[in-house]
Amino acid sequence: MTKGRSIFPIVGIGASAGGVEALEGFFQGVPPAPGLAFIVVTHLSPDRESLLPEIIARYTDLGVVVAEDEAEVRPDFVYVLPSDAIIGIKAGRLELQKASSSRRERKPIDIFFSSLAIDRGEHAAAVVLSGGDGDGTLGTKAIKERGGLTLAQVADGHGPRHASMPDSAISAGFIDFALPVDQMGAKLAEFALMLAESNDDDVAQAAQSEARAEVCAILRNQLGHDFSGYKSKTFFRRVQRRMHVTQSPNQEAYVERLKSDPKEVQALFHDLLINVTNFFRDVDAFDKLREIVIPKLFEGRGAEDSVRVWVPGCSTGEEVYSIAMLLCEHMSALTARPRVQVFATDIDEFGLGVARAGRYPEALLEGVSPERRKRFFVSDGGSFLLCKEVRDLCIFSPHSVIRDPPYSRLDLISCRNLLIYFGTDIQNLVLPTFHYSLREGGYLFLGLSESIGKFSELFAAVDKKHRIYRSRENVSLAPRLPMTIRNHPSAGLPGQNRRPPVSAPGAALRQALETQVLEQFAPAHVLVTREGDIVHFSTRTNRYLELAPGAPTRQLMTLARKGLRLDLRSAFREAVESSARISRNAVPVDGGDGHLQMVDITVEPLAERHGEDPLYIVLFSDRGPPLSVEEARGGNPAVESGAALLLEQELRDTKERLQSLIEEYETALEELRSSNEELLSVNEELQSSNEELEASKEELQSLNEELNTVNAELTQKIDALDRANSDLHNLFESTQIPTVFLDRNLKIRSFTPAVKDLFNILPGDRGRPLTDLNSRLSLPRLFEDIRYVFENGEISEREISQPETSKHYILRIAPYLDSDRHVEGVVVTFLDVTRLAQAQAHQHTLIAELNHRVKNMLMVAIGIAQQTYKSSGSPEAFLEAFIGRLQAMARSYELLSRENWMESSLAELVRTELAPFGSERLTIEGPEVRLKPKLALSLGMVLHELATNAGKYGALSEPAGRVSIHWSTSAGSAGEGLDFQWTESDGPTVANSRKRGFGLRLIEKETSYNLGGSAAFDFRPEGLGARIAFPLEES
Amino acid sequence: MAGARRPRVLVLEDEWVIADQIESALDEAGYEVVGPVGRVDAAMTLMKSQAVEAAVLDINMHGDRSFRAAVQLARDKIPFVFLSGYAATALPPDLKDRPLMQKPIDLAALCRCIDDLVTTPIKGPPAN
Repeated sequence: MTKGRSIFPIVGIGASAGGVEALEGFFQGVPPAPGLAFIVVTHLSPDRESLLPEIIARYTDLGVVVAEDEAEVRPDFVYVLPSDAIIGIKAGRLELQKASSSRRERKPIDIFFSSLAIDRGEHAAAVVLSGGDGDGTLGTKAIKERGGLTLAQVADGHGPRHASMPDSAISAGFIDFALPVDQMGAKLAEFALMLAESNDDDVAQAAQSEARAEVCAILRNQLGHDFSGYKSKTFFRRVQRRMHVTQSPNQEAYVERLKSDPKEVQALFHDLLINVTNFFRDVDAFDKLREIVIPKLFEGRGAEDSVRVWVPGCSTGEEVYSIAMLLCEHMSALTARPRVQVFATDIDEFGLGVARAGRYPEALLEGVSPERRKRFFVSDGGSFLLCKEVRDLCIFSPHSVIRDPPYSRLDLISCRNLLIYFGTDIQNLVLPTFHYSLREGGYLFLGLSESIGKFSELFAAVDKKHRIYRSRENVSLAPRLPMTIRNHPSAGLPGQNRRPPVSAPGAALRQALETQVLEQFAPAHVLVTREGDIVHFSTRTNRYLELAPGAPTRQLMTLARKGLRLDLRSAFREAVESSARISRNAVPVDGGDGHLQMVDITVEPLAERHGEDPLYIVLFSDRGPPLSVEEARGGNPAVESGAALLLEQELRDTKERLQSLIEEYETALEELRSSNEELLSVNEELQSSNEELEASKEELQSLNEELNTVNAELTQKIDALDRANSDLHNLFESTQIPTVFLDRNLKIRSFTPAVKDLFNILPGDRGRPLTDLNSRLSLPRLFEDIRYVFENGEISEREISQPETSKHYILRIAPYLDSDRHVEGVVVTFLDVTRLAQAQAHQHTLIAELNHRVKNMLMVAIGIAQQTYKSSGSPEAFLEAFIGRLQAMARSYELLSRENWMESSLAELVRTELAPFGSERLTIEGPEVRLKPKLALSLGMVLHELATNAGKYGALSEPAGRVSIHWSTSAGSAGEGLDFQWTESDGPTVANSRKRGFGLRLIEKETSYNLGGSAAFDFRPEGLGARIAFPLEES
Repeated sequence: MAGARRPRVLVLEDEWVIADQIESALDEAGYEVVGPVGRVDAAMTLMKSQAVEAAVLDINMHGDRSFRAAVQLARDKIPFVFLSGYAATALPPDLKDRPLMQKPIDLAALCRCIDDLVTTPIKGPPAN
């Protein structure tokens, strides 16, 4: 084993549903140290932590490891694919790709098998175990194509639990051994041993070609196919593979096996043909198809027309998609695209399943150019997916080209490498069928080792080398009846066997002699079928047979002369039933010239028919000379008596009646036959319709798929609609704006809950006219407004107020538009603007008040200006005093506006007015008192006058002077009153002024008139004292 | 001739500076001013004790409205003029057609207005 270590075989094992059980069985059957490496690929869900390595390790002594990227594969180890990866192999090292969780690879087994096939070639084996889909089928194809061994699980006591994965591979024909799992290990070990030994064999070139010639001869003789033109290397790889599979130790042993086992010949034949279904297999032929045929298919076809293509025996779909790709390429340049249908049929449903999926591992895309890969395939995980453009052209359905009625009106039939599987007889049936299916001038595309054979009257070669043919026009053919295939036990070349062997040179002489004797001396005879149809006439039959009126016929009974028929029929029937010689003697035949001829009839089956339709010889021989009627009748005049005559007469009458009955019977039979033919043609029509139905079924399925997609989209939209509806519902429930939706008849369509405040409305009132409901508002012009909106489609707005609740609303009526912008109803909205109305009223009041105040103030300013002018000595003094007073007013206003014209603090008022004199010379004390605006303004003026007076003449005119300001509140009869005292000290000596200035008068007047209080002055020498008292509350 | 007695005009004005101006203007125009008073209640009291020929009424009196006094004057068929910073719309409906002078008032115009009020016979049925 050490010699083979560098290229030991690697076994890929694919398993899916039910695979754990199958794997247990498999590894139990693997012998110790088999010299193989195993790589297990499963369909485990990526979010599951796999226990598979531990499970497998329980059943085998081999090392079980989880596959890792870059790991070198070593013999006698089992590598298990982790659940979240796609695995490949290159140069004996594993390649792992993380699978993204969103896009799961659907065919990991195909991907690994095909990469294994590329890497290991014939040192690869594939095992397909239990599973639920068709994964592995294309992978085993890749393995087998490159010379590897393929196995699949078949049922035994334990499984497979899900058989469709192995069954798919088996029925596609890619499996060498279909075995129960526990027998696989031994088979694989033998395979490894075989390979190891054959590695040492250096097969001589000469021995190879000798063996090859022998193998080719066997194939040619047994199957009628010549592989001598096949590439030598490929051919040998296939033969070698079969040798491994059959475990033949050398080529001689294998040739012996081929000679003795016809099944092995079939198996080798299949292996030789394995890769004929690849994409663009025979590039030159497909190029020719693209150049010559495809453009013709579209010639003169508009968008209304259709192009129909049939690919019988489509297998796993590569040929179909190759043609569909060519069609797509051509169509992309067309402006008007006809409808293209590529009918792909096969009897193998599993193969169709693989083909329908349109998903291929990279190894099978060899024949596809990079441009086509880019254009027509989408890389999906590790495999390649046919794009929708190509997939949509193809219609797959199960169909047998032999058994089922064919498609019709086709433009192209591509039937590559299907006919080679058929014998000549079936080919002879299928090719006329293709002619029938093609429309006149339609194309037929065959495989390179196939031809139209003898049907050159049906097809004309367009390119003989690449097997492109064209259906001939105007070929009259018998109407095609449903085919029933007879079983020829002598398979092979039945047509040739029928020819008599040409042996000796004397044979020709003898034949001439025999012919002459037959013509001259033998009795007249005919050869008929079981049904009585004559297939051969001898000479001189005219005395017994004559042409019958009506359509020409070969029916013996119709042709037989009158008088012969009855006996001929009974003799013939007897001969058919007994298969023995039957004779009838002395049958009188009317010669037509008034004479009767006695005739002996002999019917005998023709010997040596070997199960083919039996044929019968009918011999006619005259007995004696012709007799006149009287002679015949009076055969024996001696016994002529009355009784005998009577009997004879009766017999003759009976015979005549019988004859007429027979004729009636034959007419009836004829009618039956024609009805039968009609029925057959009806049946044919029915089968044609059935065929169309089958094709429509595929279309329906694809339509159904589309509908499913549309349905999913709709479901999403409904979800979105539900969300929107729920949003709307919540908006309705939460909005405080009363809104009513009315239809054209003013019936309530819907409303928001807030409407309940305005109308006596209940949820059950939907559908009632709004006019039925009592409103808590008076809405006199509501219905006129609604009519206006209906007529003009414009929004109407109106303010309404409700004096009882002092509520104000804006009643807005907007048109309710449907999707065509038609007014379908109205939306009535009541916007509560009560607060806005109140704010507006308040604003009016404020503006009026402001007006009043400003105007009053100006009036006061005018008055103060006049008074100040009267008491001022000079314009400068006037200006100073006047501006000082205006500024005092301004300061009071400033203070009030800072307090929002509500109330202002007395202490602050004092500080503001005395601010220019500094706080250190002032003593200000008193409780917190809030003054109304009017009081604050008046007191501000008073304070200004006191301060100005003190600054000019009193305590504040000297630095040492001080002023003490003190106030207190007291409760009086007219409410709370303020007692305010102003005391100056340390100022210049003050004399009691005789003349009181305007300042003092202003203080007195402000206090008494404006404040409703009193002011008292004390002109003491140490400084002025003033006492001002007034009520804080307006009386 | 009505002798030396000057026509008497009642003045209601809550701002003494303005009241001073009106008083001296009317005085110069040959009227005897009754008041001026700054409170509506005081005016009502004054009207009971002293007969007047005309009245000048400021509308806003320390937050109070002088309409009470106006209604009383109208009842006594004594003509009057409103003074106000407010627009004419501020008058109640039954006093709407009474004259109203916008502040700041032109004192000469006020005097002419009083002249008119005093010399124009009172509308309505003459008192017997």
